[in-house]
Amino acid sequence: MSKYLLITKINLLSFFNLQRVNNSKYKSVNKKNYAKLLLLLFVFLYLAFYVYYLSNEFMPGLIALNVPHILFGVMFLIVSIFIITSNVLRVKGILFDFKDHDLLFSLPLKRNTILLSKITSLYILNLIYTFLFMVPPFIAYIKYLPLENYILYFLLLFIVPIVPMIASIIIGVFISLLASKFINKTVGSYIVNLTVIAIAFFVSFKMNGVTSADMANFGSNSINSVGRFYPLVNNYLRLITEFNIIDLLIFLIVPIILLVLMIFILNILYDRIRGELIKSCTSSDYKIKNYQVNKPIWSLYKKEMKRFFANSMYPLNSIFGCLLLVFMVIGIIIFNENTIASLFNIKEFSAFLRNQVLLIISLCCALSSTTHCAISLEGKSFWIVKMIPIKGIKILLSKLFVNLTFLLPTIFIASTFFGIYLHLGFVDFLLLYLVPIGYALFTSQMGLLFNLLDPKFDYTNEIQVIKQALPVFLTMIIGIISVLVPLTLKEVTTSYCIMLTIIIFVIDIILFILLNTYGVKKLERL
Amino acid sequence: MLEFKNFSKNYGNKKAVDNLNLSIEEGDIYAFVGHNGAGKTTTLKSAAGILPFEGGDILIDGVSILANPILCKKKIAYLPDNPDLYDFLKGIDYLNFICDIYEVDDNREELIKKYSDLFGLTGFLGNTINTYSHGMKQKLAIISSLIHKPKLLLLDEPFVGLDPESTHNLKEIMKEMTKDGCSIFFSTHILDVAEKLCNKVAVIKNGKLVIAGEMKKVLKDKTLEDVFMEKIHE
Repeated sequence: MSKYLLITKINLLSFFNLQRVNNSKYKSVNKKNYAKLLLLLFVFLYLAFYVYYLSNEFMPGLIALNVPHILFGVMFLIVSIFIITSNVLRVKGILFDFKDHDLLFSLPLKRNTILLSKITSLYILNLIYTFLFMVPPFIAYIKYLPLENYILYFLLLFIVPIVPMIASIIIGVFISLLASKFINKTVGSYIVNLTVIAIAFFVSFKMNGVTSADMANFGSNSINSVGRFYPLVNNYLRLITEFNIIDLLIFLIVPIILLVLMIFILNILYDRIRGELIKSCTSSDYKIKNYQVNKPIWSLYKKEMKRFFANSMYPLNSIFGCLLLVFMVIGIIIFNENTIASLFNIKEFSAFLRNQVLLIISLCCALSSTTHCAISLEGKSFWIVKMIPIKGIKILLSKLFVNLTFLLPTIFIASTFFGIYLHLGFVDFLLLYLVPIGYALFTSQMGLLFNLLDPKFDYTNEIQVIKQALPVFLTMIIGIISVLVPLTLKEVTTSYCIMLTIIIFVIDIILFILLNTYGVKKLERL
Repeated sequence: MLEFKNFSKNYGNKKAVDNLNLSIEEGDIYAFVGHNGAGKTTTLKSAAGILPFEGGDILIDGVSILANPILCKKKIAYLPDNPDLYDFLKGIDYLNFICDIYEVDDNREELIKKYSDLFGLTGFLGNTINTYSHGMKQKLAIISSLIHKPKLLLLDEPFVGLDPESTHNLKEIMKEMTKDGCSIFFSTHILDVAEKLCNKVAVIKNGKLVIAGEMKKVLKDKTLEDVFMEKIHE
């Protein structure tokens, strides 16, 4: 096996955590790993089905407008944007700041072999996204119309992620370099990452509520505009509808030339870029002062808060719902109702808000969990938690309190604001506090329990446990379902809300008992 | 101070430590030697309450670590073989965290200054731990294990990564602490150091204790290296 294939194989095993599957001496562990794999597969298939469902909804309208192929162009653009936005924040970790850097660079391997293997891991991840977004529309398309070049369609999918991946690497390096210029790197990283997320979020909101006609207009307008600086999208569409060899050659050769060029440049600039990204300012003149003495639980909590803010991706991923809610309140205060309504494509904003406010606040709480990776993030320093003379429940509570530190004030601000803004009665006002608080306790405890069940301490990059781990998916999905099912399937009356509040708090108490018994035992046995 | 009673620890079907019986008295500096994978780290981690175990018991000052882990842990300091600390904290924040957890209220600043000066780390305490070298992390971990005045020190390869001056200082501190009644149980591969520093020694092979006792009685007229080589090839 060539050196490239060998290290690519190792990278992939580590990247997708495949070495764990069927590799344990214990059958129970293998069964658990297979169950996790099946669950991930289920989530993937569920998302694929959702893309198919949306594509299928649009197809009759697009056929009526005589632009059915526009669906492929739109999906091409969506997957490109998705690849760019999801890659930019992990480029630094994958290409420059990976844990096995010193080991790999000490081996007799060429730098471009190592780089190519790392880029291959990223490519395979992006290829999975491409299949997720582009195979379901294909199935929806052939349900209505014949497609002559369907073998070519599948083969072209392997080329589709290359250019967006290259763009994401360039943007990712630029963003990381920009963040590293700040004196306080963490603050710099927050500012840059928050800006990127805000832009992506605004674009995604602008795409809400599109119809087939909107899709046709949006599709052709977007393809025309994007086609000016990314002509491959036009080549792609022509290839799908009427095959010609020139378009094929351009579509194949351009991305490959760009990839080779990027690896060549990256190979030359690698040391300089890495040096800038990982450099740190240190001093050697610290003087001992008088220090504040804290209670052990308070000290644990302070440690957890510092852990929380140490990696900008942790807060930006885990308290996204809180940020969303606060921005919404600020938005309504600063701008008028009409501006917000047009931004979100909502008619009769006040009526909408009155009906949906409980759902919005609760959903934001369900989307905010810092606990689903709090155990995993102990990483190799987990021995400290095991060694210190503190009861297990206090350690778990210190992690829970971090989540509640953000959720409870957000609920207080949002519920107070919306309660006054919508002139709610006393009971409804009170429920606007209680239901979200119930959900805040629910997601916090559930996240912690899931992470106790499936911790991962041997990650190579913190993003793996902050964004890509099973407890994160499970907490998010169950959190969302737990809000959507009771608050959308039935009319939400005051008495229904009172019942819902009681049920949520009973579940919260059960979860706390579970955490205090099973959770503590699990923590001791890890 | 530390007593292993029929202590056994399994990893699946493999017995990592098998029916270990050992007693470390007050004032002992007890060396624990053995080849890689012999069960030294497993034994130390179990004694520190980090690893759960299946067989026997471990008593700290007469209290079972299984029955009352919190009380036992208050009397212990554990130093791992690889000092993976909280990289996101500053050195001084980590020391204050440990002081808060072990409720070191009196003379905290004095103690921090005494030990960090001794290991040449004071000037760097304002930096985050992720900027530290392996040796600096090891020094910080050692300081954090000394600062709350434990009655029992469990050290796993404490001299690895230390510069000669710090190695000397650590040995002096170990002697000084045992004079005050503290007990030290530590693993090492540096047999010369063990022979000169310790009053007792135990050799472990494939999870089983092969010899243990007073250093003089174990050695007779041989060196520790000779005894070790004999015992592991028996």
